[in-house]
Amino acid sequence: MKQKQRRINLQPWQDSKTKPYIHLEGVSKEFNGVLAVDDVTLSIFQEEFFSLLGPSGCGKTTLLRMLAGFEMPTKGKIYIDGVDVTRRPAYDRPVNMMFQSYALFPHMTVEQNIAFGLKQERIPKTEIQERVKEVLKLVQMEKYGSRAPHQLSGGQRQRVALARSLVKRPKLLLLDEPLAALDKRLREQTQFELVNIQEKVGITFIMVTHDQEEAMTMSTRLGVMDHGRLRQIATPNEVYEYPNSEYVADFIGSINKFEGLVTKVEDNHILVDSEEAGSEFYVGHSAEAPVGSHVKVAIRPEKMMIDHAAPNQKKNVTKGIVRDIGYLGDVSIYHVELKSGKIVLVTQPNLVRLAERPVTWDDSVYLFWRAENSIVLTA
Amino acid sequence: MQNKLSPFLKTVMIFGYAFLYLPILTLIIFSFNSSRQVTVWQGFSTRWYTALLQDETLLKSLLISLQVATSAATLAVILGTLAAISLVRFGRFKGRGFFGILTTAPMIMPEVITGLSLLLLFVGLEQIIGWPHGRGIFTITLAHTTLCMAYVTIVVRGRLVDMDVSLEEAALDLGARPIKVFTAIILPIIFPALLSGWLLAFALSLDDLVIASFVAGPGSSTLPMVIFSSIRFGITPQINALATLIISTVAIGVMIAGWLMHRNK
Amino acid sequence: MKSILRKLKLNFSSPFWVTAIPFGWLLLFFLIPFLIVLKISFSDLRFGLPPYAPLMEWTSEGLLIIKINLTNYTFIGTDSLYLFAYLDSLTIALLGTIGCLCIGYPMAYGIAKASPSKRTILLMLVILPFWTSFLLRVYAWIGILSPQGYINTLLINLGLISTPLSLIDNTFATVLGIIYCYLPFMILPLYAFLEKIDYALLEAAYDLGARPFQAFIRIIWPLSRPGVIAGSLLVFIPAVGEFVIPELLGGSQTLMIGKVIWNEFFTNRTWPVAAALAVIMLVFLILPIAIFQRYQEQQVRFLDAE
Repeated sequence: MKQKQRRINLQPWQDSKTKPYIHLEGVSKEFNGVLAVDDVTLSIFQEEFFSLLGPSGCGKTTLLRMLAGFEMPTKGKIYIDGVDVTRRPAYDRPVNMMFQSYALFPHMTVEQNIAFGLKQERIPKTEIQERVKEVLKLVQMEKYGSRAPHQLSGGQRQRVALARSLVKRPKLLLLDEPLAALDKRLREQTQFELVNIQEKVGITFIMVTHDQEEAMTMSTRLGVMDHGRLRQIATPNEVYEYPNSEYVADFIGSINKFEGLVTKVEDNHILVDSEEAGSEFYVGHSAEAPVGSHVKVAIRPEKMMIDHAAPNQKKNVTKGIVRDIGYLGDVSIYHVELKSGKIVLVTQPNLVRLAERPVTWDDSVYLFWRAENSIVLTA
Repeated sequence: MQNKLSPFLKTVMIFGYAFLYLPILTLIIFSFNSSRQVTVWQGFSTRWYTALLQDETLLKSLLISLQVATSAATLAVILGTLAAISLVRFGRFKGRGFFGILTTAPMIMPEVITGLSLLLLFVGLEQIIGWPHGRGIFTITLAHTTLCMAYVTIVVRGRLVDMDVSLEEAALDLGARPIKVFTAIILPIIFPALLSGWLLAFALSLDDLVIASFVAGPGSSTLPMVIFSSIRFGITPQINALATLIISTVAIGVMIAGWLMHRNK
Repeated sequence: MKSILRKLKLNFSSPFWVTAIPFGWLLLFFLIPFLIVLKISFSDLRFGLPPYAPLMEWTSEGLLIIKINLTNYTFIGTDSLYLFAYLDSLTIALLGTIGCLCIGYPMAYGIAKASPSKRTILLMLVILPFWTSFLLRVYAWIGILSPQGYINTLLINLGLISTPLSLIDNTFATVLGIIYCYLPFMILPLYAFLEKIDYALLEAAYDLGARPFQAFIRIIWPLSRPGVIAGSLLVFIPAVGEFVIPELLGGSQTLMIGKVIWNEFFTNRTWPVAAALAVIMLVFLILPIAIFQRYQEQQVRFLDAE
């Protein structure tokens, strides 16, 4: 419980005095003239659970493989705990990796798999046995030590792979799509287990994933990657609520975007007139956009409210007609067509049963939102 | 879902397997014929097997063949494995395409050409550097190694292509040096391929007549060479007995290998 | 010195040696020998051992003279026997390949469609003869086809014929021998491709109204074509240079080029002529070998079929 508490308070990236544990300085990687990773600078702190999120081919796996030592950067430096490891081979780094395919050695038992890394360090036999036992207990696989990998289920293999990479107590653990091979139900359950284990062992984790939900639930911070570049590095909450660019806003969750003209900029708010939205936005934060410039204003579907009656506000409100409703059980997604022809998505929890739903097809409705829930996107 | 085989397919398959096995069957049956007339059955006898065991030329050539096959298969496995690793794991190096062609070419090259060219090489080398001195078991071994390594490369290469690269990376990641990765991870995983490559090479070497005839020297006649010189002029029941022994050895070997593989699965 | 060694990567664990050792071996024992064959094919015939004149000679003035001698080639060109031997080889190899395809394709197709447990056994039965002695399998046919052989004995005893049929020592027996010995080489690559085909495709074709024969021609045949090409070349190329089969089953009238080279070499001891004959055969085979190489990536696995 104590650890949980600490985790919530732990935000070393906000403290300028904390030294980063893992540091990448201007790292680039070129394959046959193509930049897979483009000038990435990134600091990760001790005991963080950091996720690299992005579509396939965005360079996240290459970045991970450079940290592991399987690829050498074309440019830049990699520091782990203050030591430059850029040119060190994989077998000489305090880093371990959990592979997407798990890469369990098929000709060894679970115990032999886990002991493999310790044997390379020439640790005494009795200590190896102890540590293997300990880590098997940690991943709740004590009973399966003498099994062969092909006798295990997907979830069990995943645990063995985790145990094998943890047992060396690396300074940094890399996870390459650790849950991708599991089915959906097991994946959700494993997400929390993985976070719990990470908190218990206190090792810094860097995970690569293309699944935004996974990145959001598990990480302390995440980095969104696109075409080899890191687009935003922030906590899951910040990335979702305050995406710094259209790319990030689109990549994480769904979002409605409206083009508009900046009419007034103040310290704590900004006014944007949008013909597309048929509304004037009063955005509850400032942005670096001069009066008269074109910007995009974005609002998440669940941050919009929908009603037959006009709300008591002049700004942050627009009108439209319900064209379609998607029923997902817990929520419904309303497709509302505005005067400009733009379709806006609005998510509402289903507070009442389907038959009693107040808003239905072809209804004329008002859409409105709170000032602090809209975001001005300048990039 | 399995489709039922059509009558046509069934007929062809029965005919095909009969075609493959009836000639072998006749060899076996008539090896137990007591008559010297191989085609007329006169009664059961094992006299040809006894005669076989007393044929010193044959036994000596068998020893030579086994010696050549053992060393050629072993060398071929080493060289073929190195070649397969180069082709599968080293990405695109300079000359890879050429190397790839060179590794499989001995397999399809007509044996007469391979044999002739190797003999001319050995003769030429002896003229220039005095090595290899004369021809015999040693030159046959070199020639067979070259032939067999093509087959080994193909077998091992298939296995390596199937092997997940991340297994090697995982071993490196866990602190194993490249040599250790090879001995502790790659070697055990591709071992079945090495074994079948070795057996294949052994069988090929034991079987080869043409190349061995070109590069053999006096007193180094291999088993196929001795068999060939005796069957050139017709059939003898003694050779039938020998064929039966060879075929049953191979059949038993293959069955044991099949059983072992089945058990491992 | 050390730096040169380092440049050459004289470190036995480095990838350089992993490639260099087998590469060097193949250069020395496979490529260079061909160059020597080529060289000797341009040499003069000479008595003695080796029975050819050196191609390069240092004159007394210290000049290096390279004599290219086309006599061997013109000799081959003037004697129609050699031309017929080449034509015979190509024809017999082609007939053998077609025969292998006709028997091998339905067999491979049948094996691919059999249930997995049967498949293993059927496949093993195809591979098994391949492991037994090639020579003895050819030898078995002498006993079957010869005038006193099983077939003739049987037919005479049945009273169907009075004098033995001449089944051996002809082209027919040679082609039969080639089909028999090379059949596994055809079936294995064919099987490798036929086994990969998703047979739901056939059902889809039936569903769309194709008759079984049409479905086969339109779906299975095109998908298995790489296997057909690989298998055919794997039979054709070595068959062209075959020696044992024409020697034992073809008799004196079947003059395949492998046999001719053998005789030139061992009987006539005309090494330069044998070398020139080999060079010409290789020229014939370069195209098929090049095509085969293009398919080698795909058929890399067929030998491992267990």
